[in-house]
Amino acid sequence: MSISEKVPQAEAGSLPPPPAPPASLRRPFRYEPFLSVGFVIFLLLLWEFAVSAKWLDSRFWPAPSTIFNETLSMLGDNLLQPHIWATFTRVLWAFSVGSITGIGLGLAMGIFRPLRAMFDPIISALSVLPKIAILPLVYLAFGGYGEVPRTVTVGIGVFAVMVINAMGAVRTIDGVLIEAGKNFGAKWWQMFQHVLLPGALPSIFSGLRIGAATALLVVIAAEFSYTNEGLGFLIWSSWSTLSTTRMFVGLIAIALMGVLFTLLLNLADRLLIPWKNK
Amino acid sequence: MKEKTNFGLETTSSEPVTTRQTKILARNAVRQFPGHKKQIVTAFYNLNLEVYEGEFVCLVGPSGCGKSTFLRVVAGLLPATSGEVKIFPDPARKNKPLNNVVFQEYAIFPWKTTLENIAFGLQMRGVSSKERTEIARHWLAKVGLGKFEHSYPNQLSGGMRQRVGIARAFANDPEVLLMDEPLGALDAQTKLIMQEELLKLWEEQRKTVLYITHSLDEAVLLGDKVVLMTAHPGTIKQTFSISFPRPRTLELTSQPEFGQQVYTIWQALQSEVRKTMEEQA
Repeated sequence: MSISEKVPQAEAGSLPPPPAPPASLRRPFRYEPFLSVGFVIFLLLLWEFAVSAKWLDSRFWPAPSTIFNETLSMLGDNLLQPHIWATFTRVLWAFSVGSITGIGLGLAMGIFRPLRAMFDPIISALSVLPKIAILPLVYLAFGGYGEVPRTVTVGIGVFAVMVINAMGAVRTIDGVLIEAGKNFGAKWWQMFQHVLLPGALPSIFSGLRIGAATALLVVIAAEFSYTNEGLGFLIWSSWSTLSTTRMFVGLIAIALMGVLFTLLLNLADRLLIPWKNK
Repeated sequence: MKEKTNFGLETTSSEPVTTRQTKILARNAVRQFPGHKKQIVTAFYNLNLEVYEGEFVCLVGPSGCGKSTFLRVVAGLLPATSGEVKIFPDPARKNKPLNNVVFQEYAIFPWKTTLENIAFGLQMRGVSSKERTEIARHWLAKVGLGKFEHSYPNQLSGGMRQRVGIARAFANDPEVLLMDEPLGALDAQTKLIMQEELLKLWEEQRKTVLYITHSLDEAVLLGDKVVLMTAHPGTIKQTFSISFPRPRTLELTSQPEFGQQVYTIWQALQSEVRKTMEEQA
């Protein structure tokens, strides 16, 4: 048989269409989303039932329905909004200023070796320090407790995360892309604008998520003392007066704020990094 | 340009051989860099090479012989440690780049669309948005990616990505094209298609090309000269003139003379490859 001989039914144009797939090959029913949501509902119902059956002490574990009603009544009496607003503005300020300055210094450190050598030890020390631990130091630096040093502490937390992150983001850009930039004539500023910044952007966004989580963590801890506003204060003071229902309301509010920040970051991610998700 | 191969019937050489201009010159070129424990690693040494204007020169050699490093020195991405490596610019061409590289890893920017990638060099040189888009579209069509103008690299296959890499280099209209194993990462069948497309593009443009490859078939199919490098540390071992007439197509690979040419070069290369394997063992 010669190598060019064709098998008769493989003649181009006369091939039969592939057979219709059997039912077993079609997309299977996706049960995972139902299971995820369903299990949460199940746990809440179980909790509710356990309280009404007195398996759980309602003084420590108020039923979900009690927490829900308390949330509504606090909102109605404008008791929750000031706390949400106080925490939100602190986080927003600290996050914006901390991340912008952190990304700026991090990018510069990633690009310029001498800057990296200068700042690396300080930034490394700062990054291993639990951020809340410096709160008293910042109070000291500002000559007393108050709104500004509290927000500054949160900002320092975000800053430390973002410096390390942005520096790593620049340094892990594929070297051959930098070579390509040079070879195609990119000047200093063009290199930054067209290669280094967009190349670093995806990692910077992962860093911003960590930064946002750090901000929430630090702000709540910073609000535990020397203030009477904020979700941290609400949680702490409710706990110390055994108003556990309100404590749960505070916990839910801060969790929802975390969700809000994540959603906003996801949106920004999609708008600013269109090449990643296509 | 003729589509059909006139194999053995007619040559297309139009320029007289005597007036050929030297385009790339390497004289006693050496590149060394510091290695582990204060050792000096020599990538290549005593390297002499002359590439004439409009010539397609393929550089082959065993892995690690310093051919990619040499290409980066020619590109000006790395300095030579000693000796001389230069590209002679054409004084008639103003504000045009000396060289552009097609990288093995494609090196196209993931954050730029196909069109933006191809226009990149032009954009860096300050060509107006309208003009560079026009030029980029032209090259986009030439490499058959017209429908993928607004696609990002992660939406393209390997072969398509390298087409973008090749179009980006051609669109910038450099004096010299430097290609560092451009088809090295592609599968065997895509490679054949791309070889044929590259031939067609080059026959049309006749740019001076320095082309690095592992594949002797590819070198003989594409090149006017095949330059063989020794095992690490590399220097030039031997140069083969490839006199198959142009325009060439993949059909050339079916000729017995083609196979003979490839085998002749392999005989010279294999001892170097063996040396490399023993060194690495």
